[in-house]
Amino acid sequence: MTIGCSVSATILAVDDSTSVRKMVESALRSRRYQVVTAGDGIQALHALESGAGDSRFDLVVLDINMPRLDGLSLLKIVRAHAEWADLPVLILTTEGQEGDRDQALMLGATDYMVKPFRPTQLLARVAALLAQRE
Amino acid sequence: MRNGDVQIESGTRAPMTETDDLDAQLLRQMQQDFLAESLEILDRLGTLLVKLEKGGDPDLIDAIFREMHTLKGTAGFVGFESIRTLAHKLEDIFGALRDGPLDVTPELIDTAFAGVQMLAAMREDIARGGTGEADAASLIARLEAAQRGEKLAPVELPTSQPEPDTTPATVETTLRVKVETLDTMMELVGELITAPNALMAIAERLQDEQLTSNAAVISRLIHELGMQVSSVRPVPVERLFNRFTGVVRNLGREPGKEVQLVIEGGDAPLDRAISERMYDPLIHLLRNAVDHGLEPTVDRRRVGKPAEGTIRLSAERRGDVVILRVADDGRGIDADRVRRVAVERGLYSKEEAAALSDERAIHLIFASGFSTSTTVTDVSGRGVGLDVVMQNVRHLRGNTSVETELGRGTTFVIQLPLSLAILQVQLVCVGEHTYALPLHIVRETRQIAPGEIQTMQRGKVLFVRDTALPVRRLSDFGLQISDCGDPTPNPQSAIPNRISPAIVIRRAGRDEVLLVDELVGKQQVVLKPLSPYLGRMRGVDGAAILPDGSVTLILDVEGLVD
Repeated sequence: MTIGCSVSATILAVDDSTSVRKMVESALRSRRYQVVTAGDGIQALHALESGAGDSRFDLVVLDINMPRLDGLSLLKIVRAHAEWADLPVLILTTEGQEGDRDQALMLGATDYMVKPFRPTQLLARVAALLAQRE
Repeated sequence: MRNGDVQIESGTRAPMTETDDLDAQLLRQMQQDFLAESLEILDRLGTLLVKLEKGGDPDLIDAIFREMHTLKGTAGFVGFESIRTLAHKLEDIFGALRDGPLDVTPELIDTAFAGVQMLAAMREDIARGGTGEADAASLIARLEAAQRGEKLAPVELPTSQPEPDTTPATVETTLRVKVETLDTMMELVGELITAPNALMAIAERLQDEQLTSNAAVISRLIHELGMQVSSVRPVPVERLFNRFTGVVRNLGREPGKEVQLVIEGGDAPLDRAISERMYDPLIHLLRNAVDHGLEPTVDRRRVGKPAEGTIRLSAERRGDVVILRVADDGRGIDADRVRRVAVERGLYSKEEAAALSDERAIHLIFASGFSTSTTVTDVSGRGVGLDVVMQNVRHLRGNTSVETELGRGTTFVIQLPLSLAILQVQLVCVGEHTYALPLHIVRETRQIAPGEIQTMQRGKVLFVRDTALPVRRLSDFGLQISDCGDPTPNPQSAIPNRISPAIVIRRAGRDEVLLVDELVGKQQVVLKPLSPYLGRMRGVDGAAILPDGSVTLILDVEGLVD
């Protein structure tokens, strides 16, 4: 965790859609967060594993439907690791995907958002989750 | 237009805040990114579908499902509604294929290909600055049918890609306008269009020539404005017609028949609302032509006709009406056969049927309860008859007729108004009431001397060009809608013994004479739906406001009953 809570947090944004990923990244950067992106669960896992010590992630924004390793599987892995047990995970779902959303919440997702959302809605949710953590 | 524009819903309506700015900016960027991303997704989808065609593999289906899901979700994000909807339907199909209820069939793969093609066309349109809207209704209907597990008829894909527009030099300057805005404009023009009538009336009463000519100029300008505005709303009939090419190809696959569809006059304009509501009637007529109109190939060869039957779908604008025709070069309608069926169906007794003229007998194909086909085939579909076609057309204030020649073919002719909002009417007086009759059903107006009306066993008739037309008083139709004491005339004295104005109307396929008290004149009026308080009145189509401010009822003569 970075020193000084008011300074930026580091967020991992995972989505297979490049346009969603870029939008999330730009939105987060506009609020001075550090952002790492991943296009699927495997990439995300690598990013999480390489993030240790000071470069630990403060939050994961996670899409569900992805190739190779999907969001739900990644969530299972994350929650199975003691190190990531408290890591806030914000799930991104789509309308009509209530089953996946419920499963994600059962697997330990912290919160969810339904696409489409406004970028500033995401920022508000992210800020709230980070505040809870402190 | 919602598509293509970023729709930002703000919960709290603050004037352009910093967050609004950020949202708008990010979503604009995202739209650009989406155009690039969707191109890649569509390319991958094409490749995946080709692989799937070669052999079903659960992983392939899962991959296609995921691509569709991403496409749907992202399109929804950036407000490209048409892409979102179509991708959603396709996603559902591949979800069902993945989870079991559906199986991969060649028809389904063809439909998916057609879907990807249409998505690409929508994307292309957006990239060029369009709205991305396309007529995907029939494709979506097909996907929904597949979703329900219905067996799909084979689909034939267009062999050529839509031609890319290579003439950027002649790009027209266009402006996107909300359809609702256009509708409001249309309504205003509609009301404006009757305004000069009052002015003209005053000018004539004052016998002021200058005022008269000025009023005439205003009238002409408003009329022109009305034509311009209503021409914005119509769409080329081609859009509607193009939906039929694939359907007819499929219909033509019926064993023993060869069919080609010829489309003509696709650039004729048609009101959007009419265009949408004409799909079902036309598809029915096309099916009817394949099923009942065209003979099997062997029969055609025997009588020396080309083996391939031709169905001609055409449109033509004539003034403020559009005429659609569905013509086949098949066997024609046999009046005797129609008479026999009408007797079998209990519509007429043998004697009554025999007494019908050929023209009248043939018109019975539009009667409800008349269908010459005893089984509902896959091709003719839902088992609705031509009566439904006629009703649908009538609701659009059009009319349907049929021309046929034994051995030569049958042509269904549908006449439709150019606009649904403005109507030409003939005003008539009956007692104290003024009624409006839509001009498209009025054949002629005339003055009838008492001696001209003759009494025959079936009632009073008037000979018009050697044809005996039934004669009735409009007041006999029980239109006592107001409480004003218009005394109901005694039926015995119904036929007046003085010269009486009359109109010849076309009703249920034949001409009739209606006697009225006075012919007031022709008028352009704006149709207003009747107040829901009044409910639907038989024989009344709506109301119109006349230049003097009074309200008149527009009669629906087909609905008039004795």
